[in-house]
Amino acid sequence: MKASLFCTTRYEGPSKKGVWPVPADPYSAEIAQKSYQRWMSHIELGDELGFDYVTVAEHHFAPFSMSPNPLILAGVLTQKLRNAKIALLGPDLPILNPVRVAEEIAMLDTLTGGRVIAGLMRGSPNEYVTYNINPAESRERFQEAIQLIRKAWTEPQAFGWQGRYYDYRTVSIWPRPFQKPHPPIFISAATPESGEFAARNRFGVGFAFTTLQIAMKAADYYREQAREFGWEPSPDDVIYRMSFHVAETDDQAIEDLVAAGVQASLGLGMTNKAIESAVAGSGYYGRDIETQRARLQSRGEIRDRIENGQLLAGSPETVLKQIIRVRDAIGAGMLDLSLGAPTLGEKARKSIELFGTKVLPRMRSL
Amino acid sequence: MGEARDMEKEKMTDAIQRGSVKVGQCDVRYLEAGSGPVLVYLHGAGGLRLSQAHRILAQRNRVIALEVPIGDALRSFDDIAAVLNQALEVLTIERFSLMGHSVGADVALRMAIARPAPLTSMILIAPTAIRPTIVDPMARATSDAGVRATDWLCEGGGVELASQRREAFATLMGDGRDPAFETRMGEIAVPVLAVFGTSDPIVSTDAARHYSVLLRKCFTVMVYDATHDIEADRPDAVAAIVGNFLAHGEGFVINRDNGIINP
Repeated sequence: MKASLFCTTRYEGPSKKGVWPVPADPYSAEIAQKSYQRWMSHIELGDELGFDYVTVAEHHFAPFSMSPNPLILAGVLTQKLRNAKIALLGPDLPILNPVRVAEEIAMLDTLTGGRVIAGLMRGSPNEYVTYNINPAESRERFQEAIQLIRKAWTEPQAFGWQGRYYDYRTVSIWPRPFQKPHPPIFISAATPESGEFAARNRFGVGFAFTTLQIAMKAADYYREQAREFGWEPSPDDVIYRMSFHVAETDDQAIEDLVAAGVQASLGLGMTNKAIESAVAGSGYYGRDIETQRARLQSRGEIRDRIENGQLLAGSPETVLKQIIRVRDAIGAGMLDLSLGAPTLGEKARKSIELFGTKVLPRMRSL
Repeated sequence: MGEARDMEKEKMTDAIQRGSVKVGQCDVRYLEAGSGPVLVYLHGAGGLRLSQAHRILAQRNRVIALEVPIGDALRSFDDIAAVLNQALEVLTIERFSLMGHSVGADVALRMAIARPAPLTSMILIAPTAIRPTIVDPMARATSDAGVRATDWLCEGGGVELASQRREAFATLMGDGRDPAFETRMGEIAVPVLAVFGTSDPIVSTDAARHYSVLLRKCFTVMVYDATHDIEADRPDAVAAIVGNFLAHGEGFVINRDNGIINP
C-alpha cells in the first residue's frame, strides 16, 4: 500500500466555527504566512520519511484549507519535494476553466518529470456558490470538462470545442503532459453515477468525507461497473482519504486528540444548511441522495470515527491494524492521510514521524 | 396533438423548394431554402435531407442541398464530384461555400480540388475521406436510418434506395487510404472547417489531426456529445459554429458575443 500526506494548509489562528463562508474579520496575515510555513515543514518531513504522495485539494472561503487554487500550492511543492509525487485531488472542475486546468496540470507534470496524478473533482455543495455556478449543472459540466481536458492533453493539433457548457474556438496547450498519454486521472466515485462514469472511462477513484461502510458499497459498485466495461481495477486505482494521529501508545493518541479539542466537524459542504439544502434540491447528489447526505453529515466521537473508518488513531501497531481493516474492506491501494490533530504543533509532527518510520515501512508489504 | 405537429412541420417545410437539374444521364435533385450567400450541402449515406441546423443556417444563407448521385456510370467519387460541379454551373451558382457530411464531405473535397474558383470556404461534417480514421465500419449501418425526428425535411428515398446508396458508397469508398487524393487535398486554398462528434462510432476525433495536416487552412472543432449524425444530435451547436465560420471565415475564432451581464 501507498500513503499520501494531505497538505490542507489549515489556517492556525482563531476563526468562527460552523459557518460557511467564514468571515475574515479575525484574519491575521502573519498567522496565515506562518501556517503555510508550518505546512511546508510538515510536507518536507513527510517527503523525507518516504510518503509516496503529497495531496493538495481545492476549498474556498474557509480557514479549514487555505487552498483556493491547489495547483499553485502544487507549484510550490514541485520545488520542495525530492521523492514524493503530487496528488492533485481537486481542482473542482465545474467551477473552473477546464482548458486552464489542462494547462496547469501539464505544467506541473512537466516540472516534476511526470510525478503528478490528476484527481479531477466535482467539488462539495458549497463550492458552487463560490464562483456562482448552478449546482444542478455540476455533473454535466464535470463530465464534459474531463473529456475536454483529456483531448487538450492528447491532441497534437489545434482544435476547437463546441460543448454544451464550454466553447473554445482553438486549443493547443503548451507545455504538454510529461506522462503519456496523460497523468493518471482519478475522480470521486461516491455516487453511483460517478462510479459508472469512472468505470466507463477507466479512471481511478477516490473516496473522502465518508464512512467505511458507504465507501465499501461504492467501491464494490465501481468494480462491478468496471467489469461491465471489460476491465478490472487494481488497488492502485482506489484512494481512500481519512484522518490520522499516531502516538507512542493508544491512550496517548486518544489523549492528544481530546486535548486538541478535536471534534468530528461537518465537512465544508454541510456547514451552511441553507446552501446544502438548496444544492440538494437542485439534484446535485444524483439518484442516491439520502446516502450522500448521510455520508456528509456523518460524525461522532473519536472511537466512533475510528470504527467508521474515518480516523486512524493509536500506536503504530494499532494504526497498522486499522489500515489493514480499511484495505480489506475497500481494496484501496493508497490512503490519503489528513492530520488528525493539526493544531498540536510538535505532537502533530511526531505523528507524521511515527507514521513514516513505524507504519509506512510495514504498509509497503500489505 | 399529432395533427398539430404535422401542420407545424408542413408550415416549416413550406419554405423549402424542390428542384432537379439534368447533367448528362443524371437527374440531380436538390432542396433549397433561405437567401443570402450560397451554402451548398452534400448529404452522407442517409440521403437527401435538410436538418434543423440547415433551417437555422437558412436564416442568413441560401442553402442548397444537392442529392449525391449514384449509378453504374459513376465509378468514383471524382465522377460524382464532376457531375455535381456541372450541376452547380447549370444552376449558375457562381460563388458558394461547400458543406459535406460523412461521404458527402469526401465528395465535397474532390469538387473543391477539381473546381476551386467558385469556392469561398468549406465545411466538413464527420468526414470519412481519411479511411483509417473510420473506427467502426459496422456502425455505418446504424447511421443512415431514414427520417430522423430532427430532420427539417428528408427526401432520402425508401429502404431500397437507401440500401443501393449505402452499397454504392461502400464500394466507392474502398478500405485503404488514397495517398494521391490526400496529397491533392493540399491544393485546397480556401479555409476549411472540419467538425467531429466526440461520440461518433464511425469517425474518431483523432481523424481531425489528419485534416489539420493535409489541408492548408483547416480549423477543426469537436462537438461534444454528438455521434456521426452531428447535425441531428446538436443542431444548434452545428448551426452556431458553421454560421460563425460562414460569417467571419478565419476570424471565426474571435468571440463577438456581448459579455455584459447587467447593462
